[in-house]
Amino acid sequence: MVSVVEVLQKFGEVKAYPKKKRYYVEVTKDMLREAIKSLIKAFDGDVYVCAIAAVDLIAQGLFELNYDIQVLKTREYVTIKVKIPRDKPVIPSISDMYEGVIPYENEVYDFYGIVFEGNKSPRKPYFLPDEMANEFPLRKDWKSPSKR
Amino acid sequence: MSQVRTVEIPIGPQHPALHEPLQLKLKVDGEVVVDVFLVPGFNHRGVEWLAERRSFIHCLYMCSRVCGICNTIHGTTYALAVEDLAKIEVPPRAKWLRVLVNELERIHSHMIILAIIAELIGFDTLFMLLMRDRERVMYLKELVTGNRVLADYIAIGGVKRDINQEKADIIKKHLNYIEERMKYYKKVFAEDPIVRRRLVDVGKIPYSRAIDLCLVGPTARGSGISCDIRKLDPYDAYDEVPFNEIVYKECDSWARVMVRVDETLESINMVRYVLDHLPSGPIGPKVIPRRFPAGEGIGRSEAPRGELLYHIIHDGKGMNPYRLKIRTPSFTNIHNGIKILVGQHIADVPAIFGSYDPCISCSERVTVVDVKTERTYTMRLKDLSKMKR
Repeated sequence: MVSVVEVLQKFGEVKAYPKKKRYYVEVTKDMLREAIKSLIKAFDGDVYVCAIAAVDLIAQGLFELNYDIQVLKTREYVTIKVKIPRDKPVIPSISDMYEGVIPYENEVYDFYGIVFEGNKSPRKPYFLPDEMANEFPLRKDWKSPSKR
Repeated sequence: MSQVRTVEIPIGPQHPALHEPLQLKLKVDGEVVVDVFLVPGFNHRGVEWLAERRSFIHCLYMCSRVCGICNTIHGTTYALAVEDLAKIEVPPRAKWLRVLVNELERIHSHMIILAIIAELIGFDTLFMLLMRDRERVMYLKELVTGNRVLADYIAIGGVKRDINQEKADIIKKHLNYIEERMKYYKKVFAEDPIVRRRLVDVGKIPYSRAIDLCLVGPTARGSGISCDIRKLDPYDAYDEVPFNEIVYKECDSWARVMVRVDETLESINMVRYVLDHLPSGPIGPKVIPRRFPAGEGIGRSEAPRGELLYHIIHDGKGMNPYRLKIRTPSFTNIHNGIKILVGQHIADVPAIFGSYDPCISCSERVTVVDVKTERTYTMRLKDLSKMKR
């Protein structure tokens, strides 16, 4: 059976975390969907997305998105990292491949304002109250109302 | 032009014990649910935002308070992520003690949801019996950790308290009683005709649909998915403690309930094994660092409700994590699991929703809006659950 390293190495250098069977790979925005499709194809769909974690790298002017993915067959865990510019936070959605990522994407959209192109039901505010509909509190330059 | 005869039923909105309190708006056509709309965020506490402004040590206590019922596993998973970041080695005895407490937590967490499901399907006697027996597990947790509910037992690099032979004997004595009772409850859930009629073939989630919805934990294992993180990605001493992963292939609410019943029995055996094979040695490091190196740490564990994930990113500056991502199992199970409600009867909604193991009391009050008469009236979800199919 193929491993995650073999499937993903054409998209970028697959590096290992210290713990066994945990890997990460950095791919470009345009290759994200292709990388996830390759995983689904290689493991007959026995793959699920655990989480989408966004990070605001304000010093570099970037947002980093971490797609944490579990492969059930080989018991491998891989984090696909994608960096997008902070001034144009748009990334293709993978909700057509996994309906279950819609809440993950909505959560990131809610707190960071990253737009997932192709998400069928984007919602803002999702977790935030209505009065914060135009705010992105997990961005590093956000200030709470008491400090403005 | 024909009139659309749908009724909107909001369920919720909130219960402070749940990390994701929510309101469900069900659109029904007669007795059948035709659409579900979720309104979350009533009690969002911004734990991730707070974590970026607290030290690593503060975060341990804050993360333990993300969930009341499964607080130890939140502390454990946060500690796993920090240990992964700082390459801290946990002593063997501490690893085994973490397994002991987390399995006790799994037993009482599964017992409470089994009790709630029993109440939701109108079996109040079973609810009371299960809650009575669960109290013994709470006592055992207090015996080991010093606290009945919020244990605060986990430390970065170990645990805070040790146990002795006297405590081990008391735990074993009570476990014999709990095991005997759980075997009886297993028989009730497996064979009782009323329980079976309310749960069997209700809320079916096929294997491929559960993968598509990214479901985790007993909810996914009831659909035949082997997704137990204790086997997939062993942490602490789970690679040394023998246990069977419980998977049911029936895909219905009954299967999800039976996974929890069997896991409770499995956890009882695991606790016994831990007590018999507990290695000697220290229970934690002598010095806990206050500053941590730049890098990433991932903590993954099998919480009672499913896979729990903590992802820490640290830039090496300051004493706070640069970013702490928490993905709780209920987030995916509730937000995605509700999609299964479409096409089901209203009377089955509580049983299906309960089988995902959310904090069901968040859905205790229901407002029914009749669009034809514009009459609004309120009823309890419990009464809704007693409606006939």
